[in-house]
Amino acid sequence: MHPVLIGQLTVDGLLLGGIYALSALGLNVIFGVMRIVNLAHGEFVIGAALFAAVLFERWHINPFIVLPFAFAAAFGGGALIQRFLLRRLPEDLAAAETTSLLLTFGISYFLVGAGLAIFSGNFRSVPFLTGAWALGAISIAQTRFVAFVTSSILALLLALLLRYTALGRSLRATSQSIEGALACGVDVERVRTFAFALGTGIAAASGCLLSLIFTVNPETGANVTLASFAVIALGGLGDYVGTLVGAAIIGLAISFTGYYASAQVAQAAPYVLFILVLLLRPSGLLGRRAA
Amino acid sequence: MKRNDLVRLTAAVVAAAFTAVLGSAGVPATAQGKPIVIGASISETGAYADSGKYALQGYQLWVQQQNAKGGLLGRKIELKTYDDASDPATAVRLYQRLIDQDHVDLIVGPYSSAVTASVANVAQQHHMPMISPEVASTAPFERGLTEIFQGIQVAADYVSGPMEIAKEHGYKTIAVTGEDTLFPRSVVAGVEDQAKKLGMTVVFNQLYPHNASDYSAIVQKMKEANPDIVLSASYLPDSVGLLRAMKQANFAPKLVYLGVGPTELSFGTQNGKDADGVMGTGNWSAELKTQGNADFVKAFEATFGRPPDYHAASNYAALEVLGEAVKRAGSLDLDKIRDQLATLTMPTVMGSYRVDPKTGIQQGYRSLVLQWENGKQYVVYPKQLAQRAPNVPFAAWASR
Repeated sequence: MHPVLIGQLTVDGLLLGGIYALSALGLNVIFGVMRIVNLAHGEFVIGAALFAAVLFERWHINPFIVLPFAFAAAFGGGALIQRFLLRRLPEDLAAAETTSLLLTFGISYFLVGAGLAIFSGNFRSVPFLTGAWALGAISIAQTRFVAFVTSSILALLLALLLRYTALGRSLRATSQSIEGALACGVDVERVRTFAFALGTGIAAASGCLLSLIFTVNPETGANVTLASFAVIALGGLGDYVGTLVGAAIIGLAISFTGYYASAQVAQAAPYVLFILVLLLRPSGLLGRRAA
Repeated sequence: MKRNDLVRLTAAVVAAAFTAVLGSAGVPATAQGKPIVIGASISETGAYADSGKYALQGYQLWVQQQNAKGGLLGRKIELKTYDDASDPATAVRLYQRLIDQDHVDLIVGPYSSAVTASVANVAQQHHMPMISPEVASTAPFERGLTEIFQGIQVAADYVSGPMEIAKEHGYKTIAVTGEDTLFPRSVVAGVEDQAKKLGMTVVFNQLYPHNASDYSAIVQKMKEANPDIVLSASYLPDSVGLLRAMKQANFAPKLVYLGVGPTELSFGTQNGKDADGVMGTGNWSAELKTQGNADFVKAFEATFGRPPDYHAASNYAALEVLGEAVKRAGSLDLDKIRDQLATLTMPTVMGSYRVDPKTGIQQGYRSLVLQWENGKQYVVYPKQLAQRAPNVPFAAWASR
C-alpha cells in the first residue's frame, strides 16, 4: 500500500462523495418532512444539469451563475407540484406512501419524455475547470473540488436554516412528528410545500454542479436517484448529518473498489453497502432515529 | 331518424362501390405509374432521435435525387417510414406492418445496432433482402441469416488504424479499455492478437461497465501500467469521462484513441482544447474523396440546411447500393436483388461497397481514423484518404 496512492484514492473518493451529498440532501429533506420517496428526484437533478450545459454551449454562461436561478426555478416548480399534485394524496400516511411512489414515478417518466423532447438524447456536459491542482504528488480535480466546496457550503446553509430559523424549526418539528407539530400550531401544509420546494431546489443546484463532472442525457436521472437513495439509506432517512457521512462512505467505496477490484465492482459497491445497511442497521449507519 | 339512416347507408354503399370500382379499374391502367415503395423504420424520437433524423434525411435525399433522374425501372420511388421511438420491439412490429399490411416493395435497415439486430429476423422470415447502414457489430450476421447486408464498417476494423499508426512511430505498449457492452467489446476483442502480429504488448486490459460513475480509478491503474498508447472503445459520455480523468491524473500517453465518442462534434464542444490530439474512428467525412461525396454534401446542405453526418452518408450509400442492385436485377424480383446485394462491388459516398457473399459482412468500406486539432476533426488514416499526417505524440497536459 503506497501512501500517495492511498491519499489519491481518498481524495478522489471524498470529492466524489461531495457531489452525491448535495443531491442526496435534497432527497432527504423531502423524505424527512413529507415521508415521500421522490422517484423523480434524479430527473430534477439532470434537468438542471442539461439546462446548465446548454446555456454554456450556446452563450458560455458559467454553471455557477446558473445555479441560483436554477435553484429558484426548481423551488417554484417544486412548490407547484406539491400544491397541485402531491397535496391531493390520501390523508392516511401509509396509503400516501404507496400513492406517492406511483405519482413521483409518473412524474419522473413525464420529465424523461419532456427532457428528450427538449434536449434530445444527446449526452452533454460543461467543459469548465477540467484540470487538476497538484498537492504534492496528489492531484486534486478542479471541478470536483469546486463542486465539493459549493456542495459543502449549501449543506451548511441548509443546516443553519434548519437550526436557527422559525421555518427550519417547524420543518424539523414536522419531520419528527406531524401531530406534535400540528398541536404546536405549525402550518404543516405550508411546511410540506416548503420542504418539497427546497428539496427540488437543492436537486437543481446539485444538477448544475453535476454538469461539470458527469456527461448526462435525459435518461440518466434514474442513476442519480438510485445513488442518492443509497446515500440516504446509509446515513439514515431523515438524518441530514448522516447524509454527508453516507456520501463520503459511498465515494470512498467507489474509489477504492474501482482501483483494487474493477470498475464493475465499483459500480455495484454503493448498492451492496445499501443492502448490507438495510439488513444490519435499517435505521442507517449512525442509527440516530428509527426511520 | 329512419330516413336519415337510410340516406347515410345508401351514401356509404355508393361510396364503397365507387371506391371498389375505382380501385379495381384503376390498378391495371396505372400499374406502370405506380411507385416503387421502399419501407423502413427510423428512430425519429427517443434516445437516438438526433442521429435518426440524419439517417432519415440520407434516405430522403437519395429518393428525391433518383426521382428527379426518372426513378427506378421507369417508376417513381416512394419512401415509407415510421418512427420506432428508438425501441427494437416497436421496430419489429413496424417492419411487420410495412411488409404485411403496407406491402412495400423493398425494405432498408433502421437506425442503430440494437434495432437492426431485432429487425433482421423479420426481414429473414419474409425473405426481404435488407441492406443495413447502421449495424457495425457482426453478431447479427453470424446467425446464418441470408437476407441481411452490412452497409457500414465492421467494428473489429476500428482499432487497426490507431495500431498501425502506433507501429509506424515505434510505440510498443498498449493499455486497452472500453465499455463492457456488445459493440465496444467487439471493437477491442482482436487487440491482443493484432498486437502480437505487430510486435506490441498489451500491458493493461480491463473494461468498465455501462453508465460507470467514475473513471479516476481505472485511469490511475492505466497510468501505473505506463503504456505508450491508450486504446479505448468508448461512446461519447465515457470518452469524455475518460479524457477528463486522464487530464486530472496528468496522464498523457503518446497516443490516445477513444473509440467512436470523439467522432461526434459534441466531443469537441465538451472538451475544448483538451480534445486536441485525441483520435477516434469515423465511418465517413465530408472531405472524403469518394465517388459523388462532394455533390452529396452540397445537395444535403441545400436540401436540409445543415451539413450531413456519417449516418446521413451511410444511409444515402445504402440506397445507392439498393438502387444499383434493382437496376442490375432488372425487376423487383427479391431473389435477384438479394443476389446482387451479395455479390456486387460499387463505389458509393462511403467508399467501395463489397460484402462477404456468405455472411453479408462488409469488406469494402474502410474505417477512418479521425484526429481532433484546434476544434476540428481531420482524417489521418488510411493514407490514401488522409487529409493530413497523424499528429503524435499526444501533447503533455501542462503544455496546452
